[in-house]
Amino acid sequence: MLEVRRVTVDFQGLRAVDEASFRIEAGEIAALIGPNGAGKTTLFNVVSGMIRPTSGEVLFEGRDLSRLGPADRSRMGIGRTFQIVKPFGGLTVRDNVVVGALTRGQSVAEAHGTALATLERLNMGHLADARAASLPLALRKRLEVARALATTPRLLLLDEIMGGLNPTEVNEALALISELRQEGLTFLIIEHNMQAIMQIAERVVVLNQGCIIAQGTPAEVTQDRQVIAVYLGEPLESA
Amino acid sequence: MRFRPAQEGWLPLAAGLTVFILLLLVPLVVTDVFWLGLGITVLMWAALATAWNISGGLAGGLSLGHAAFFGIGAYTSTLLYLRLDISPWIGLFAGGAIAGLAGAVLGAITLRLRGPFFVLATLAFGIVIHIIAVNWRDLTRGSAGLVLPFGGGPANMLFAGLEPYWYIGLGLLALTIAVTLAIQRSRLGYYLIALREDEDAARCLGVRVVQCKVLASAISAMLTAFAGTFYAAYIQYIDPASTTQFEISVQIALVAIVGGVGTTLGPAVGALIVIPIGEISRAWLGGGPALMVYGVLLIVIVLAAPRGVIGALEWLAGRLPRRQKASRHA
Repeated sequence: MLEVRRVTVDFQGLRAVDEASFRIEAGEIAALIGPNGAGKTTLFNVVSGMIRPTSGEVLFEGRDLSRLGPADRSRMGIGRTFQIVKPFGGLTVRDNVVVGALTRGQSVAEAHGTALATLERLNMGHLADARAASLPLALRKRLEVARALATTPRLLLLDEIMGGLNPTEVNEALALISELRQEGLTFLIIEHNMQAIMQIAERVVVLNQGCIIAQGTPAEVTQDRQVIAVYLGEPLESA
Repeated sequence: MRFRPAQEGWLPLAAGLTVFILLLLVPLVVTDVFWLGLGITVLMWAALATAWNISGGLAGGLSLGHAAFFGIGAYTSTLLYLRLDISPWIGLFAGGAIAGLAGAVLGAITLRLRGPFFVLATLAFGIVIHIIAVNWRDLTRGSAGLVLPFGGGPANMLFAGLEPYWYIGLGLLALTIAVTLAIQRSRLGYYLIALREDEDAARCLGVRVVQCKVLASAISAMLTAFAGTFYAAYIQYIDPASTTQFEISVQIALVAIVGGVGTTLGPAVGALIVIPIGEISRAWLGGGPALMVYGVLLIVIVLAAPRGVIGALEWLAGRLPRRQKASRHA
């Protein structure tokens, strides 16, 4: 469904992503992991069209996205959240989500319905009329997801949505992701909560200093010596 | 407060209609030429500031070049009338179309500019149009200006009395407010607000920046040009100093800022405050002293209500209910 081909991103001499290639099949939950500064969010920005790669290309359902901006990619079915949340602070929670629904050609009235249904699904229905700026961080992260879901994406990029959540909330998030996958949604997830992400990911891509150093099933990746060395660390038993 | 998507409700609509009907009755009560003339000027500036607010408040770019669109409207209808004997009623739409096109082009050019760079680009655009108006003498007669001949009649938007201008001005203001409300309730309104709040997030939700900003700029320019045509027909004389001059751009923005940028009615309220202060102080004090009083009063207003008069009122109104709500949740 998504294919990243030899993508390189240079920021004025600093190579943030170096010849990264991987692919995700439809209906998969893929995780993108790696230490801070490895280039995970940069890769997200390339896929969502926020930045153009120095070289390489991104294919979505076989189509080259190189010439398309973020708005067109969103309309093709690629949704994303931002790690540093970007709510429309002056708007209500509901209106934040309405914007996402509107771009799918719904009328304003329909979009309000979609927004409420989406919020209910994320247990945020009671917050519909609150100002987005008044929400605590955990709920702003959930609003990011609600807004992206309202665009009815087929591929959803989630950038560290579980940071700062308590264990119950993490389980709720995992349950929601599994449920949405059942409905046919494909996921690419950046996450530092290893215990959580390894429960649901079927494919893991490990990034370190801009390079993909391993990819495979969670079992394969967690056994990989290089991955252990740069990111996971030695298991406690052998320490 | 900044624009939020408008909420439905019959109460604001009823209140709006009541005010509109009361305003329709004004010429029956106010017969003095000075006061009715002042009222017409207020209506025109209210319409101008409301039109400005569509790009300045909704799309979020502080334009200091709107006199260009005002001038395009004034000159287009006047020249069509003088040269080709086309009624200003038709010239109104011709001016609107040309200004709309210019607004679209300016919107496309200034799309990626932020803060002071956007302001400077609009300012430069305004100055370019002003220089054209002054120097293209074959067309505009330059600083000598253009006179609309007396006796053109209602078919040419030229009336002997002031009352018709009051009604046209009122219609113009009603139109600009109606367009503002319609945009707020529409897809475009949501997109513009989203773009202003966070452009990256909006784009990633599928909002197309170019379309939205170009459209907002074109609509704002078109409505501003309508006011230009109205001004030409009302004063029956135009020159660059009274239409395309930089001071006109500043005053359009100023009226909106005093009333409250981004609020639906703020710009109209701003006109109701700023224009009478300017006109009355000029009538009573004349020239220099009037400008001083005008300036001092503006400074006081802006210091007292930095978010505009409507912003200050909303803040006051928001204090009480919010406290009650908070205690109910606690």
